[in-house]
Amino acid sequence: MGEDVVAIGAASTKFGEFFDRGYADLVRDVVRAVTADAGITLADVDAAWLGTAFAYTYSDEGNAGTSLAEPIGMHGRPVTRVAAYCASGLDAIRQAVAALRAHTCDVALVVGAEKMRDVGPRGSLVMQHVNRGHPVLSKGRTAPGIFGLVAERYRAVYGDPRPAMTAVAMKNHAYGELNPRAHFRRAVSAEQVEAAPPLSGPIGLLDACPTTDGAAALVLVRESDSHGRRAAAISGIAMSNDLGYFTANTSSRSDLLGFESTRSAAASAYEQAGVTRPFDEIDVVELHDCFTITEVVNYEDLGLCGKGEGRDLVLSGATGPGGALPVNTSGGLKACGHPIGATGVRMVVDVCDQVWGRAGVRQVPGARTGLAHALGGPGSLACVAVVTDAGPARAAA
Amino acid sequence: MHEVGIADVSGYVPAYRLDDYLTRETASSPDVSVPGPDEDAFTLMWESLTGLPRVEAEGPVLLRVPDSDIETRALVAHARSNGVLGEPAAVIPLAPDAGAPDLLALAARLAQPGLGLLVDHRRPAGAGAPATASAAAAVRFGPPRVARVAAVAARHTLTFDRWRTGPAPDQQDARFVEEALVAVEGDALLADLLKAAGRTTADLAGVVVTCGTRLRGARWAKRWEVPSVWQAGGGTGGPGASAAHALLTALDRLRAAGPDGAVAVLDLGWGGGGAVLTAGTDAAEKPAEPAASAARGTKAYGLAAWHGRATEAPGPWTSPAELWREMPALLGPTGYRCSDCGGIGFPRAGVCELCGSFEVADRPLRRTGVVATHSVDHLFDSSDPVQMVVVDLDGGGRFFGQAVRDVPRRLAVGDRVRLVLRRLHTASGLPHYFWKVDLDG
Ligand SMILES: [Zn+2]
Repeated sequence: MGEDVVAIGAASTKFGEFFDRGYADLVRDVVRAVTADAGITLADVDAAWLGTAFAYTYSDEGNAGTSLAEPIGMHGRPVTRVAAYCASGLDAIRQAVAALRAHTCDVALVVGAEKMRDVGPRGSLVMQHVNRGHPVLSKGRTAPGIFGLVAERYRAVYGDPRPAMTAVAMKNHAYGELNPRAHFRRAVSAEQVEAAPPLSGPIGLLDACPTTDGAAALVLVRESDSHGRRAAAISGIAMSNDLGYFTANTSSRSDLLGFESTRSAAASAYEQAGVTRPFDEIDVVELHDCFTITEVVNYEDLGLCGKGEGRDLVLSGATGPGGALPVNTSGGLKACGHPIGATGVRMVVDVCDQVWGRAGVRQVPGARTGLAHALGGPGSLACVAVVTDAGPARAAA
Repeated sequence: MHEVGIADVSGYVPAYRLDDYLTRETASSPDVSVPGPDEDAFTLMWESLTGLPRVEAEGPVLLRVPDSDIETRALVAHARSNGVLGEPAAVIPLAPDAGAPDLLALAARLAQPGLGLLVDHRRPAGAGAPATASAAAAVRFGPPRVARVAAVAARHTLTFDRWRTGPAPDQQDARFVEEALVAVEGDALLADLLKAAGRTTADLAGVVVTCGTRLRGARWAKRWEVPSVWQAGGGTGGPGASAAHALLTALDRLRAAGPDGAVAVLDLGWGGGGAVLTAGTDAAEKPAEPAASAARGTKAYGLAAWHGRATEAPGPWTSPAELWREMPALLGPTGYRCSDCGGIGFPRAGVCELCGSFEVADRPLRRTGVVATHSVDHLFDSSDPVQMVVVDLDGGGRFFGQAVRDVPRRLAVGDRVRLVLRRLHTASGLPHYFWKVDLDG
């Protein structure tokens, strides 16, 4: 496996709808913030990775590493674009970790960025889903529709998921209200969630994450090069491809109650990090709550509870403020927002903030180990990372 | 003319009916059958063909599909792709105003037994025009199991009666049509037919009439001295307008009449065409079955559905090469079977998604199964929410697609369902058909 790779700098722009900031502006802002946070200059960086899922949503920006190199003037070095649907950011981190472990670079910059709000009505990601794709196999398939199928199967097998979905929405909005970087900084009531316009199956508007503008970034080095700085180790990171894109819903292998991609990526990341009892050993989680039902099944797929127990886990309060395992203290995709390529990087930035004790009023006391999880496409793939405090305290221990 | 028989028959009558408002607005009969928003001439034809026994090779296919925006050859190609139609010896398109008797007359003169397809696909025309019923009938000619065509006849008369397709700008008095023309031409045609068949009116269980106005059936039954006169498809619309309904109605009445039954079919206009059908060999042996699938729960066809169809958003740009590559298997529906693990999957693939083996072969899939899950989607661009359904197919393979638009109720996990071909949208000038999910039975 090689030596641990650590983050020594972590930063994110505010997430939201920014008509005054283009893609290049977001990228430049976040790179300046992350190099300052790491105490380095761009000249120290010898390779970079850019996570952007859908370059063509906004313009052609993000379709190659050039879209990162150009706005920050990073010349003469490799810059690689990574695309893995909603897991693009986490998979970009995985590429950087692999390169550092293999000593093909010494200081790696990872940026996730997506500009989604500044598009015409037919150009939005939602409408692309409806109007593009396979002429018949994906006709009628929408993003909430994919997860609505899971919600209805969950209802048929385990019982009504509605109360748990409402609890997820309320919890994540409550966290988002406290997060100065969140897209939505307001709490929602159960009545508001359940009276929201329907999207698909039991999923309503307030069960869905927004599309968002934003960027997040990390500076990664090998632990031996961290020189006693505050650091967070990427102690496990794995990606798994499972279902096809157009054929995800025709796969006989899916139990329709969750996602095998998450299960296998988690198993691999846990093995790397030596995690055997995730609920007990992990202190804080950022997971892929694109829709509230997704958070419920993610609990089960990540092994935070048993099959069919995701509902009870959120209803018990265990994943909320003061609970045994707070989940999505950023507000999650639900309230923090979901600039697709940025999300995976943003998750690790938020976990770093927690293990570095700088999460403010959302701080989980004593958090030392965190988890980040992103699910991509119609459950096609997933990326899971275990992030552990590796600061001077650990070095001394 | 040599004797020709009808060996098999299958019909389809769409489940939609006009709601009260549209019935009033269009002065239509409330029992007129109207196609659902996702049904078109091809899907009606396909539904009728599914009830016929499959054959590898057809005789000549006599096809009448008016008001279709898809060419005759395209209709045949689609039906061939999903296996409901054998390879035709020839395809003979009939004129849009050909009626049921014209089909029978032509079939009777063919050297080789053929397949007859009559499709009436009509939507409420609006602007006060009465709705004409939609239906599809498929008959395979051959041994006279279902019926014998005992006689055919035709008259061609200058009657200037405006019995034309579509509303005339200055509609003549309907009583003229009924009192004068049905009397004169109908009487003469019926007499010709009975003479040719060697029968009398006493032998007839009744007469099925299509013409350009609504008839008072009891009046004509009395005049022609027959037990009943039926008007198929709600009347109106001109010659041939309700050809499928007329044929299905005649065959249903014939079966009800038993082993000695006979029924006449008259399609009146500019003279007219007619035929006499007599009971087939099955009549003595089998209990009577309706030629058309029994009407299930119906759904009202309101302004929203009507308007929704008219403003349907165009589908995505589509590569014709992709359609050519993929659609035959998708319309099959063809999946694969893995010879290593025995797994079965959909759609057709070059690798087994269960075990990763490349040792896979195409395999036709069953079109019935059980709902694994579903989701009613409000975001999809449609006039009303579409239910998306995952179906575990009998015998293996999993399907994902839309529920039919006229399903009597929302589908639930565990429901028995069947796949039916429906029109999804038109894109790049091409109609896109794909399977939708319907309650089974
Ligand atoms: Zn196999």
